[in-house]
Amino acid sequence: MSETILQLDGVSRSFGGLMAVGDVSFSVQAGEIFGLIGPNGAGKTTLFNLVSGITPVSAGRIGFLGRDILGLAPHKVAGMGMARTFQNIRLFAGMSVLDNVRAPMQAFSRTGFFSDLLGLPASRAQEAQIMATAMDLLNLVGLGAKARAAASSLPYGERRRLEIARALALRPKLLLLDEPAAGLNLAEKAELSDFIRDLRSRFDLTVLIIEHHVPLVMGLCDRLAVLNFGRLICQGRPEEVRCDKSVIDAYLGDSHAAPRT
Amino acid sequence: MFLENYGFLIVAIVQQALLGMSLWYPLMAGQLSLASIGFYSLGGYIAAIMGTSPAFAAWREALGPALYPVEWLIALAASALLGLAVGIPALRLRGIYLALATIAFVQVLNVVVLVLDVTGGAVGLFGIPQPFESRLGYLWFFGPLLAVMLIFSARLTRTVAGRSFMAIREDELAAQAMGIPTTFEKVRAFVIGCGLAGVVGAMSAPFLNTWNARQSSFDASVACLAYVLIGGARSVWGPLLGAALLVALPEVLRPLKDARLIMNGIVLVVACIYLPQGIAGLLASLRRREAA
Repeated sequence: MSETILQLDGVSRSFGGLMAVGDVSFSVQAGEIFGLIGPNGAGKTTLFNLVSGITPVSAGRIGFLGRDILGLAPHKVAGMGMARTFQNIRLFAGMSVLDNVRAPMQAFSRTGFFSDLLGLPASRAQEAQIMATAMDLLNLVGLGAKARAAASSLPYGERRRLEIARALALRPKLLLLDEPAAGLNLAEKAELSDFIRDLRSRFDLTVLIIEHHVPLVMGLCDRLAVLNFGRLICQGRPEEVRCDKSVIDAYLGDSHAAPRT
Repeated sequence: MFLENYGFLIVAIVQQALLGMSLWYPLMAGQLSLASIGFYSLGGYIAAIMGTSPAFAAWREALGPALYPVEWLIALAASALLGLAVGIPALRLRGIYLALATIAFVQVLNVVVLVLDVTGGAVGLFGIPQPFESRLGYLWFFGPLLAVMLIFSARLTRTVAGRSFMAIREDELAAQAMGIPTTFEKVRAFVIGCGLAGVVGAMSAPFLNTWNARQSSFDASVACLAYVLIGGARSVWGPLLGAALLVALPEVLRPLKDARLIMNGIVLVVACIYLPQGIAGLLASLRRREAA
């Protein structure tokens, strides 16, 4: 019996007359890697924005760690332990690689503004701690050597990794990854599955992932939810989802379907 | 000799650089504010009233020259409080709307100042006591303040709060998603700028000898912004470099007579097109090229 980390009940969101997400319910259990798949425009990213509090819901309830988070400011939701990446990568481009990872750690700051300015011992100790943690995270994603470079100078694949490191700096319990494999080459995609599994065990994470690359999703996720036109059409283990008639029609097509016996 | 002749100019550069810095802090958090000149005006009135009003005669008697630091502290507190009151609603606005709201705030303040008796109405306050005989003497006021603020700025970029400011400047939505309380940090950056502008105003009232509503004109607001943008909004040195160039330029170009205003405009246009990171950005890239 595992703990429910994220619970969605009848979540809907309309933009004008367009229903982007309609009546979606599912729950994510602690330690799971939960995949969210569906065709373009199915409402996956909108759902991420609803969960992280960036877009308000039109109807429904969202619970995170047993607490109703509707109406909570995004930074408060993040502070509870929910970190995310963005489909189109939103780094702090003008800041150094190191500062990108250090910035979210303000959430754990125990020292005051003036203490920091004067460099009092408590602040210096905290800065050393922040620095050590940031370098650990950068080394983990293979960017330790580029700590002082501008984030905008990184090539695409490294930007994706930096964004994950930045999210991990929040010490999240739930990590939302929005198409982490987009734009990566085949070798990088292959590494990504192992990397995400490694993160889960290392940081005791629960992962909610949007991904288009079907082999990656099927191999990585413990469970999947499939969205189509904003509605949840199927959820279950990858082998169940793969055989579902409505999923094959809407999204997978015949080639990805499991061979029928 | 040089220092005597150019004393006013040198002090004016430092004073204007400090005003530019008061816009630099909100800009560090990505907020374009033009409110500084209003808080400069407020600080100036506080110093002018305390320096001339009969109500404060006992204070002047008792404190002597210590009255000046007291004026600065009162101006700092008043500006920070008013900054908090203006900033909390205004910083819900974004980009150009925040700029417009801060311009409107300055206009409201100017009208209030014109109708009140205590501020001397349209005539303003004059005969403000001067602690120094020469203009250059005021460097004892503005110089240490500039040094303190440069150190403050440099330290700020290495603190938890400074990184939050910059994160908001780079991407407000991502900053929010990374747990940064964006409204709180924007108000904090704004209030720092307001407090500084108030203190600069309180120091400037004796320097200029008179104080009136013309101190907080729209032109002065735009000039402060120009120092930061021309000097470089991303460098601690930006406001000082910008103020040095833009305040000295009209003096250097004095032989050109009226044509110097044209030159001033040309410098602004050229800098905006060719120096997106300001003079500080240009110097940094030259140094990088030398190192490479």
